[in-house]
Amino acid sequence: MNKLWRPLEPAFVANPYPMYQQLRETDPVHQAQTGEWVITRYQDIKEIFKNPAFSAGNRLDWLKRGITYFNNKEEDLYAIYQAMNTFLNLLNPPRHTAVRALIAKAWTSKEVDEIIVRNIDRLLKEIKEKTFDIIKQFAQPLPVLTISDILGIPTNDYRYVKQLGATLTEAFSLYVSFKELVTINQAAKDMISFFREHLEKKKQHPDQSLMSSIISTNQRESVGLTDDELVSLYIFLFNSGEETTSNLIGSGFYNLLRNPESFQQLQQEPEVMPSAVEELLRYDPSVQIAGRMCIENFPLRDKVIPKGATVSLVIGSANRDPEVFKNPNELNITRDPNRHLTFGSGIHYCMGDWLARKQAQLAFTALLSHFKSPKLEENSVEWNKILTFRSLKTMRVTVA
Amino acid sequence: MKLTQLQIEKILKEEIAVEVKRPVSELDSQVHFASHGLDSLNCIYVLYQVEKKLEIELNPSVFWDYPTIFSLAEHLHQIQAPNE
Repeated sequence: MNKLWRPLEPAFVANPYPMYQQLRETDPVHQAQTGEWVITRYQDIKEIFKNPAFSAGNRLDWLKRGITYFNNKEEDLYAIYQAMNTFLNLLNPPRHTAVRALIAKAWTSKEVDEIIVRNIDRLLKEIKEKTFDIIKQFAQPLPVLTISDILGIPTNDYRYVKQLGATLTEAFSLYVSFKELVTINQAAKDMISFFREHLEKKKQHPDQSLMSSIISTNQRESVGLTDDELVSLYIFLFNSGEETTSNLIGSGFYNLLRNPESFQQLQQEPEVMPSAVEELLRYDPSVQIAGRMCIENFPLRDKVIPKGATVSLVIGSANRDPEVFKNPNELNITRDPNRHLTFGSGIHYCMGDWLARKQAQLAFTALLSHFKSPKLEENSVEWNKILTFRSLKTMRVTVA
Repeated sequence: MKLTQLQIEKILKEEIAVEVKRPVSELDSQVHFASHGLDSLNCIYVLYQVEKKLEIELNPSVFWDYPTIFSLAEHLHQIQAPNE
């Protein structure tokens, strides 16, 4: 088969950038065999992010239609929709504006350094082996511990909730099977009951946590979110607070290990860290593809994207567009300017960018000083098989 | 028991006919699935039924990679487990 868009082929999931490059060069506004439009150039993606001719949340509509459809097959998938109905990335104005403002008002404390550093220390202390899986033992647990502390849920449950969250995230996968939908629905049910239980606890015993603060802000400002919607919002905050940052720490450390000069430069010049994190964000973005729905015919280059079409914005490709980034396939930790689209653009620009940046900076700083010259075990590197979210499954390192 | 390509084609037609509420005789093996009225949702369900009948696991993208009844049947026939 000779197709430009091959999102499920293992070789392209492990390294999608050659496929992106071919699309950018030969057909930047590409209608895939699956019907959706695949956009790969930086300027086009930025334009669509900002243009009201495109709305977010086509996935939510699709799930809603799916639930009705599968109901007729005696399969109830409603929990998936219920779990995701207040996901900020799937909402449109005016509801999007109201929920976003609620989070901004409720989340007043941005002093999280202490929490992050405490969690980093805890994880580093638990690493006793000379060769270990840095994904499973550090990159995955760190952000989930941090977001659990921020939300106010017990950290001893983190593995359980994280697993549920990862399963729920598969609902964003471009192509899912029926069996997967049934599994996702079960995870959604379990996640809803977990957060509902904690919602009740926080109502009875309010504390300093973000969960409590959201409950009181919702009342005070008359935002009017129901309990079901609050639970969905918690699930959204939990998921978006942990998985993407895990991926950033995992693939970021991988890229530093593969570029020893950058690794050493950072050890010697820690002030370069903020710029290095920007470059790691650009180089291997965790969210590779953002989905949009076209709500009016939209001419782009030599084509017209029709009303109703589903559009896949390939952020991973925008970040490697040579029209914007010089030597895009090279990791340059002092790149300036570095206007990557990893956090999106426009009204859906990521609200947790500061937390992701801070966590990654503190994590890499700790790793670089704790392990002087770690060695990457190349054969152990395995990427997860989902193109939408670029993440390492395993990566072993050996330390002296 | 390994099925012939023709038998697989018949299974596909029967499953699709139920989903799009049309008689099997009206389904042309050579046209794109979308022309039969299949969308991304009922494709998922047809795939699930085919997986059960053929006792195989399929990638959700096969409908797009083999977009006609004929080409999908040919592909499924190739990947079937050999006779024990």
